[in-house]
Amino acid sequence: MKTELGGDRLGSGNKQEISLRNYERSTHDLGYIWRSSMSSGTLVPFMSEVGLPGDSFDIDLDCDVKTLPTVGPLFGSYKVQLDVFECPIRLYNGKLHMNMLNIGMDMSEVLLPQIQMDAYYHQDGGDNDQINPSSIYSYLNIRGVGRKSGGGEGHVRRFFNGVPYLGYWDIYKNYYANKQEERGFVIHAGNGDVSFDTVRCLVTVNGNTVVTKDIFASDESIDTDPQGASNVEVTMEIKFEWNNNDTVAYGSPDVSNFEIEVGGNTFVVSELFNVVNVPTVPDGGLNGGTISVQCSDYIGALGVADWDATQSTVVPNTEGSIYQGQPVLQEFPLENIDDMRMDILEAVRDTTAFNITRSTRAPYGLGLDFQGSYETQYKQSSQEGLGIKTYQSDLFNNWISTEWIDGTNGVNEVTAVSTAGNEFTIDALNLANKVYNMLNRIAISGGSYDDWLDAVYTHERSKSVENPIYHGSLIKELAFEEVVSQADVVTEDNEQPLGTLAGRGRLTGKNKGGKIKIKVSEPSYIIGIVSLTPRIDYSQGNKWDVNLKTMNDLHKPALDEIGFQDLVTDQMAWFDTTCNNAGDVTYKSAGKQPAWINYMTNVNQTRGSFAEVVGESEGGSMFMTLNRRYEETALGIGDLTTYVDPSKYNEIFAYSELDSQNFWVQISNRIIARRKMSAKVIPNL
Amino acid sequence: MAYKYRKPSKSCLTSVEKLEGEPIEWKIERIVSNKEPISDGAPSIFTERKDGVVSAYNIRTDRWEIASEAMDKVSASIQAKRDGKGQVKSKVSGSDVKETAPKKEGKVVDLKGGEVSGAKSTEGKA
Repeated sequence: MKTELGGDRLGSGNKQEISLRNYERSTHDLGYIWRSSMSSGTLVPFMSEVGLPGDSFDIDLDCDVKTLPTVGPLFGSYKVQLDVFECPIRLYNGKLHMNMLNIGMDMSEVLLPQIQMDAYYHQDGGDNDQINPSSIYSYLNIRGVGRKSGGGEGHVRRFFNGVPYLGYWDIYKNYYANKQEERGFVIHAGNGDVSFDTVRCLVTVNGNTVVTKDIFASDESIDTDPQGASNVEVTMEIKFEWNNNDTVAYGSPDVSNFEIEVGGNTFVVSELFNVVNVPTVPDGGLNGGTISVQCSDYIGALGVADWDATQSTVVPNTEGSIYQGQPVLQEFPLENIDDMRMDILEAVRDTTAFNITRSTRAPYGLGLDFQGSYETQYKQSSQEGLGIKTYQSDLFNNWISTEWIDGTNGVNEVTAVSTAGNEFTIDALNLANKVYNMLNRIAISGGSYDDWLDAVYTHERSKSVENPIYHGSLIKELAFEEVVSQADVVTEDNEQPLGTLAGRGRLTGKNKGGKIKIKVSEPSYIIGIVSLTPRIDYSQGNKWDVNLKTMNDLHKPALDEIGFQDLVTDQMAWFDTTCNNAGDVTYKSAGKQPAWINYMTNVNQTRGSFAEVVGESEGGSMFMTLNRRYEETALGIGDLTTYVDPSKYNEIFAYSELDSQNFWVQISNRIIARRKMSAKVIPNL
Repeated sequence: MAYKYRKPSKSCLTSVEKLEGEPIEWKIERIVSNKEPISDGAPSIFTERKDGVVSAYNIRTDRWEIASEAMDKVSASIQAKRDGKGQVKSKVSGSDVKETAPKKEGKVVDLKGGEVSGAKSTEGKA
């Protein structure tokens, strides 16, 4: 390699040119097999390898995906996708920008960003005591913090290289997030200390007549020994609701300290009733409903007394201060990822490493946080910290933010032609038209600086690498084959006759890509991400053409040059539209789409029992399809987004909890790396 | 009941902000009847039958597949360059025939005494 003595300078010619010794290279096998369980919609890193200048990686990917058994046939498929990116370490260090003077003289001054990881060491805590094996940290190869120095149990802290973690979220923003929604989602454990709120406490005395009084609403006089009754039964039902709308309910209400004042004396439930039946929150939470504790076999004093439970408002969870609530999808602003990069670059003058801590902005700090004490870490929860991807692009999952087009400083406002004085000039109109066209192209393309360069100049350019670089993918398809039951199965609550269909997932023959070659030109991380995306059906919407009223409503080529139309949500779900009894209709819009798009595309549909959820009818079979079921709330669709909710597609599987990971993924990473390093003679085994 | 299945769970996801929607048919009617200027526009694009459905104009295009195909070509061209490096051109009876150059031997570490810690190396003794 040739360079110039004292550094490159204009006009120095080749007088100062010197030759540096070129290092030879050697070839190494970095291949491995990677196996993990997964759920759909999550972005799981399967590769995180260091690349050095001069390295060339020949990556040959292959993968196999199987699933846990399904409880019925599944008519639908998943896209299986393995993507490989290169993240230069420079992106996450201010000192490596600007070609800073003298930095090369002491590269130990260039400190890599670190993850500050706290944990609690338990003796005999087990392999996964400190970090859950399906959390982002585990997938990025951090499996535990360590033992307590000096022995015993206690808080431990360690700093890990944070570049792959930062790279993962940078990849998320640039390649998987929907920039039009300006938000992303990350899996984060719900708070486990969430308790139950008392709604009612109904005491029923079943004597000659049945008398029920709510002693939670107010104190009530109750006669547990009514005159003339030969047989009296006193029961109590305490109804609870989950006290946090943002978290899916789990566990059971702990009524061991639920206090009831009877005749001026305070009792707990078990002092008044022999039988206290405490149920567990069913799968999927309470959905805004209540859960009831049933008490019977009254053993308290008989007679007339005032009963009062008005003070027993909040009841803890039987699962105690468990921090590992069910995984929930936590929203965060996408701009946080840009802000994080800015924080890192601003720290250029710092003499200490940039630390990612539990107080760092979401999504970075969420999984590093703990609840209450160091013993209760979120990173011990299933799938903690994994990003959520979007559905495949289609009519209902691809729109432009209305704000960008019609909002304040949107394209339309910026390019509006002033008609002050009831006139305008043709020049103003022409200029506005040109600016309009340019801004439109930027908005459609995404709105970032790179998007701006692409849209405004349409020039093939060598891009400065300021973001992770995409190097290739392996794309496969996971379909489900039927398994026919060979015998009758009769259980307590279900009967499955001979010939009942179940299913299991298998890859089809589709195979795209997989051979990836990367030439590394600066210290980098090679990061691979695997994802499973359901190819979805729809069943709740009114098709656009059922609203046509006249022949004039049909498309006419002369009106082709209209730019945008609203994405009317009536097509997604009828209940997002309101109408009165005179037939006046009010639609809602998710955003803007190219005009006349309905004539250019279509969506998958389900009808019949495939459009009925369980509970709507005996034969509701929506669970056999990958149906994008929009949820109805008082304001119409409650989950209008392009992001995948993994729990939506669990119903078909035998194990369908929110933390379930029903896909088994095996990836063969055949990696041959040619590196500027000497091979070593390896001792014989 | 043949199939045992669970009730769907409630999603944790929240909606994007929704605004009042106006179908395109209403928009056209509004513009025509109010004589409003058209505030947005789009170029006219017509495609050839032979091109089929052009990915750029298809909302269902999977950009990952397009990107993956493009990177496959990059990967193939890198491989082709590598394969070409090991070949020399020579003229044989007027036609181009490629001959594989003699394979360069890999560099072998010169082990002093041929032994490391008493263990015999099997490398480089072909």
